Amino acid sequence: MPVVEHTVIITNKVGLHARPATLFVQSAARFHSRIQVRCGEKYANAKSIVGVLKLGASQGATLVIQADGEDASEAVQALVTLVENKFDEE
Amino acid sequence: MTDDEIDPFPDILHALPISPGIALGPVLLLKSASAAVEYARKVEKEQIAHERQRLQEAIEAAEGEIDALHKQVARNVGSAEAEIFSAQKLMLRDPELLDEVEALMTNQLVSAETAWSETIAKQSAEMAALPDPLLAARAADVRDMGARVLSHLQAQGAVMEEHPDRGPFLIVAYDLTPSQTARLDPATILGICTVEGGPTTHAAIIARALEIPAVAGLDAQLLAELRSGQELAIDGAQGLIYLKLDDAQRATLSAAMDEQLRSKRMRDTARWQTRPGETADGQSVFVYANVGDSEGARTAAENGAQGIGLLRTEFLFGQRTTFPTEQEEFAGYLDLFQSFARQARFQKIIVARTLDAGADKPFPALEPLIGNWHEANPALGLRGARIHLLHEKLLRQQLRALLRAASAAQIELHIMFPMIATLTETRRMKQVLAEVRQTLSEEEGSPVPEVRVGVMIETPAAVWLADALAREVDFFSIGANDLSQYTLAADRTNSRVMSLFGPLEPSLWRSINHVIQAARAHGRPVAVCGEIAADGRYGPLLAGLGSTELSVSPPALTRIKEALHQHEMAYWQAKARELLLAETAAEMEEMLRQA
Repeated sequence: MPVVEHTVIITNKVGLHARPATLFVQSAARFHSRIQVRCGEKYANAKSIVGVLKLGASQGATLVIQADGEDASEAVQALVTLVENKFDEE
Repeated sequence: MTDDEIDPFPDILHALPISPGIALGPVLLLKSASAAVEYARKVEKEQIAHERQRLQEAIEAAEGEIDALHKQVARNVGSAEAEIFSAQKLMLRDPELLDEVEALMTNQLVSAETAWSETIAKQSAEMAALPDPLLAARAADVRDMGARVLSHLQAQGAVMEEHPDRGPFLIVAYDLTPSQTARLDPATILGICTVEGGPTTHAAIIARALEIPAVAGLDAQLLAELRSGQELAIDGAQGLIYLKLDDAQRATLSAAMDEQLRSKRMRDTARWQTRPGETADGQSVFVYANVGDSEGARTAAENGAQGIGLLRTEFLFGQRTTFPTEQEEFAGYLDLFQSFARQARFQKIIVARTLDAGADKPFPALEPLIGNWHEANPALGLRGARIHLLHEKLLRQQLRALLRAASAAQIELHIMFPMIATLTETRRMKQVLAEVRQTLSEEEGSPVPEVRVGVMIETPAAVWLADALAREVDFFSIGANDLSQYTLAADRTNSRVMSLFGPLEPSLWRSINHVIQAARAHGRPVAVCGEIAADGRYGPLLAGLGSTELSVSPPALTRIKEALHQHEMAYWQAKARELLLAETAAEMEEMLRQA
């Protein structure tokens, strides 16, 4: 099983708040792979909205996205793109 | 409380401003969503599978509710506010949260309620402890979602049962969840005063979007002393709670509240002007206007008419003693069409009713043709289509002028014939229209586009020919005022008989239903014009019967759109079907009273 990891910096104004976090988790849920997000010392399951919100990731924070499974590289790519595109909100 | 008792609370308290505005009125105490309810804690090992199943069902039920709320808020408040419920839906299926619940159930042998509420309490507390206040406020969503699932586990149905049946009230509660707030009807809720809550909670965002004044930070001890029905006032902008009011304060706050209401009503009207007619579940019902002159056409367009459903062409005649020329008719129609088209927000459809003259309305211009026009029963006399067929030249001229003006103003013209009693006269008038189009096309060297042709259903004869007429024409328009007159054999101009009958007569409603069903069977749209269509209590019921369009006076347009939007189409259909079972006007009244 491939394991894929990628680092991305949050650039949207509000960070991983309700709406961006919702989009992030909805996006992660589309993939079969197990996906983990790390922000500083905190880890979260990318498919858990409660976990992602509790990361408390604000603008400027670094996220490390790691996926493990058949569609790992697609999953990481999709999430990185979402963050880089500022969740299409700006 | 008398003056002798010691009053621990000052008359005006400082609280947190949540949503601006003044609210003054009787208190309605709501029990909190998180009120503790007894449930079994420990369960036997064999029961765990059953608990798991119960939790699954409760989550599914909650999911259905959240979906419904999402749609409702998106429609009534805005799609940005509705996003709250997307997040809550994800929380319901959160894998980490569900794993925790599962672990508690299997390792500690506790009930689904216990495992669920402990997990929710822990997760919401962790979230509330986040340093970022915006993120911390999301704890309220975890609790809201949690309370919803719990209420299903306890088979108590919706979280808030104590919905006020009357009002308006000032809601006082320990706290309100976003779901509870979204369900509040701004028409019956003056304001919200809670112990818990802050300006960044989703409940606060929804209160602001619904323009319901709100404050938080009420003393919990004071909450215990407040009683439903007592007077209270809040100032949501300044964060003030008025426990006691003197006459001057009451007058000032009342005036401010009236002003607030007036300005809100104006904005509401503006909102309905820009929206199409539809039921709460988005089923379209066209709301058209009845218009009798250019000024009316302009007002209709401004007020958001989706078309002109009844153009009374009599306006060109007035007190004239000579018949207008074709050019005069053309100029009059063109001005009216343009008045509508210039400001129309929706389609530029105009349904013109050909001249509906009768001896009860004086038409001096027609007298040279008709001669002595004094009739014992004008309502049963020479009128509408009957004049057209006696004097086809007038009809031809009017049709020519209408077709030419429609093409010049670039509007979509539909033609409608009044006072139809037979299929033969309908066919004859269609024939005349076809000939007029043919001649005009030849004169102008290009084909005059086809126009849709309809008939007014005003006579019992037309009601019972509805199936045959539906095969012959493109649409119906039920003239409810005349249909009532002819069905009940009650002269509209005779107040002594008219006072005996109201809009709710089973014979009238059954006639209308018969016409609508016949039209539907042939795929024809049916409009209803007349007073019942413009009444907020009855118009939506006509839509429930299957009427596709309501045509009302311009000032009633926004009112009817608002009335239609109060319930889903299935509600109006059920209510209308029930109404048809009534045998007396009193029974119909009674059925409508039961909401």
